[in-house]
Amino acid sequence: MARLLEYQGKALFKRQGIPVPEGRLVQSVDEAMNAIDELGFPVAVKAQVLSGRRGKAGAIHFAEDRDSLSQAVRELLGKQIQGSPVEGLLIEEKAEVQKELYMAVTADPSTRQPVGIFSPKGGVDIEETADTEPAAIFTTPIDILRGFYYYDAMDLLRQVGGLESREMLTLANLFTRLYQVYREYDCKLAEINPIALVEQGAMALDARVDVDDDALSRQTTLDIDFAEEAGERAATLLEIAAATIDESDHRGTVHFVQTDPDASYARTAGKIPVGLDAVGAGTGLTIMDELVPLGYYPINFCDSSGNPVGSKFYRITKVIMAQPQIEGYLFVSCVSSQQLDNAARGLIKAFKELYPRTGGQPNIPCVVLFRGGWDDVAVDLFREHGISDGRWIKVLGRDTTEKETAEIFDALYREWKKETGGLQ
Amino acid sequence: MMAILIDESTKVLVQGITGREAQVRVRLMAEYGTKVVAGVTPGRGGRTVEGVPVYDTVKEAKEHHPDISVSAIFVPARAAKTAAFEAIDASIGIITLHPERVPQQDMLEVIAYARGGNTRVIGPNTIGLVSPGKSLVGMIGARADLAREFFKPGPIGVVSRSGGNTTTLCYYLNKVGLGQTTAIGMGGDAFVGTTLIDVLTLFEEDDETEMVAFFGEVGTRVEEDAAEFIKQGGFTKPLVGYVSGRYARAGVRFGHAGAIVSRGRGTAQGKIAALREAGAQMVDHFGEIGEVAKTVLAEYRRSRG
Amino acid sequence: MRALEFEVRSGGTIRIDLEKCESCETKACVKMCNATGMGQILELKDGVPALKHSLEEVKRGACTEDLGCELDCELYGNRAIVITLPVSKLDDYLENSSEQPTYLREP
Ligand code: SF4
Repeated sequence: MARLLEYQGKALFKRQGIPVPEGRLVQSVDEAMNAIDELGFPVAVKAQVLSGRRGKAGAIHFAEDRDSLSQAVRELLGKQIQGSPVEGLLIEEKAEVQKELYMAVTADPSTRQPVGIFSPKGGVDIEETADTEPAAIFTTPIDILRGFYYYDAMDLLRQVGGLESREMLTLANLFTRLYQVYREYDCKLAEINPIALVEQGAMALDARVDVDDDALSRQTTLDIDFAEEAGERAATLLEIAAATIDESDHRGTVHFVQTDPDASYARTAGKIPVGLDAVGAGTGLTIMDELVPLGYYPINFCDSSGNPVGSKFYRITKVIMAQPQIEGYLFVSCVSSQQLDNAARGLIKAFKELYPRTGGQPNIPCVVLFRGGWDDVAVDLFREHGISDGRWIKVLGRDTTEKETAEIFDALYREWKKETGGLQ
Repeated sequence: MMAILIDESTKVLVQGITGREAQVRVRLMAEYGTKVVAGVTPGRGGRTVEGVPVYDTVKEAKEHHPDISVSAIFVPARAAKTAAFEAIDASIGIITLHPERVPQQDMLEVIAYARGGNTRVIGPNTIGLVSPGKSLVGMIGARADLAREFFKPGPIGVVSRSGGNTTTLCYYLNKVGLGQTTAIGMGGDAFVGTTLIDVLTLFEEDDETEMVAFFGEVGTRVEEDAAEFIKQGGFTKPLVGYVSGRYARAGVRFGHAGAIVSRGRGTAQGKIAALREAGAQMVDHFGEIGEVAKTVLAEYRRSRG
Repeated sequence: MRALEFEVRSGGTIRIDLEKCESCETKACVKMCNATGMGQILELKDGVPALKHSLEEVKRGACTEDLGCELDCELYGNRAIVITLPVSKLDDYLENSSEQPTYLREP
């Protein structure tokens, strides 16, 4: 999903009438000083990064005066928090909090419908609460065709105990608005943690909004131009480039994610980084199951599905091969219903352009497995174009398992390493 | 003999029939022997595609072909919900939703809407299903001659969360001489209309199906829920399976929306353990599933005399 | 120079240098285009490849971008076709990358 930064999530909350503290996004000390003229002390200074648990990661400071504010801003800006650089800070009025609560709307995988979740224990990791104190979590299924009304929320909140009638009404109204956020912006998760009960009512002190990237094309008011699951980090430049491939052409899809963008995970684990293109996500996962025990780690994941046109395979091959850390490449298809000859042509065109001097024969170990529709044509094409004759490429046909493919790659890699000494 | 869901007599409608993908698949289905009797593309009524008449709405198609029981939906993802609603409103018995990347909340609406009607929804992001030698719906098999090669009649019910690996699984079974009663791609998304439990229930009730082979993936609770269902006695036949993604790192979505491990939940290891505990035979290498299935089936047959 | 140039759906162009086509004995591109997929956009006109459909239809997706014409022309024709398919923003990545991709390096 596309996860929004806190300030973006709060902007959506505000649009739907959920109160949030007055705040300003700043990117320098000067901007912070201007902001404080409007906000007044004390304030919270919060790094805008996607990772959760910012409190524990030291990403939230408080300031009572100009000195402590400028110090906090300097300290946080440009800092790395769990791998993400801090590029913006949200400066917010510090609220006088009486109680911290939790509220969320998401989809329940078992009932396959939206679920409203409430806990009187806000401010902490809800996953932890779920493990340690399941009785403190209250849920209600929501009929998506009917909607979610204040009295549905009231009936949930009545079970909690310890909430006054007026508090319940305030929270119930907030809950229905949160559901509106969830529906309006195609969220996978709309979460407020914590909600503060303050003198004037209730207020969202934080916002976590995960937008369904499959719905981004109709979410034109959201300022998100990237639609791929990168998890708890911002998209890489290469992922952004890869995402453009599906944008203009819906004939098949190529999901590309850098599972280990700088290959540091692979290297720390003592694995050799390789590039991977798989026909079908399940195939990508299966070949990983075989490659990792042999000592190779695919630093990207790519699922080319839905019978992509040849030009998509060409483009995605260029993207995969652009990763400077890879010491090998695999294209692996399941026994696929796709027109694999199109895949072959895309790969061949890319290889020829990447390796013009050798007519497309690669300089790193490459294994290409075609199984399924037009697989014989695909294998023949590689031969016709003289690429299969290359020293460091093996083009395999239908009667090869994933395990055998990984083993063939392993043997090829060892030979390559021995003979060439590897990449300089 | 009646296979689950589809057989020789099944009459199929194709929604979005004038699109590129649909045209290729109509040819596949017709050549396989599936009775594709009508198509729908709004605004294109009166045409034909591969000899199949095109109508403007599903209702209109049903007026001309009242015995349509299955609709294969090949429309862009953004139009999937409306197409599914249209089929549900026309009381089509089974719909297969083929588009990928259907917005999650659209799917929640479709699932909810189907609950109130008489329609079974398969997918989205499904490759379709085949009852070998009888009927094929969707894009499974790619080409009729390949489909005949990949899918053989036999005693195994096949179900997979991965479209492509539905076929791979059948391929591995055929290699050891085990054919299939029906093979179904459930669709890889986190929210699908027909779950693994639903499919196991259908296979449990099907006399021709002696055992089930399954391909699973990281993410969701599909396998865990099914393991629980088996333990409670909902499914009593032998189950062999493979769950892919042992090295999937948390927080990364592997291809489609279902394949994501978050916060230590939905791991392949957890799923394998749960299914083993429920008595399923889980293989370590996908390519071994044929051999293992053969052994398990032989034992099962022996045990039943 | 006589050329046939047209845009394709995914964003890119196909350019055929028709001067080279006159002496081409195989016309492999046309055969290929009509043999594969659902494309079938090329036909022979006055002895050289021409489009069967309007430029708009081709761009809207009549061309299925299977790349067969370029590859077959390279093998069996006169190397007259160049298909240009940029990956937008890939250059941004390559320029910002501190290391060279492996295809530019020597093992
Ligand atoms: S194969 Fe090449 S040279 Fe021959 S007609 Fe086609 S484009 Fe021209």
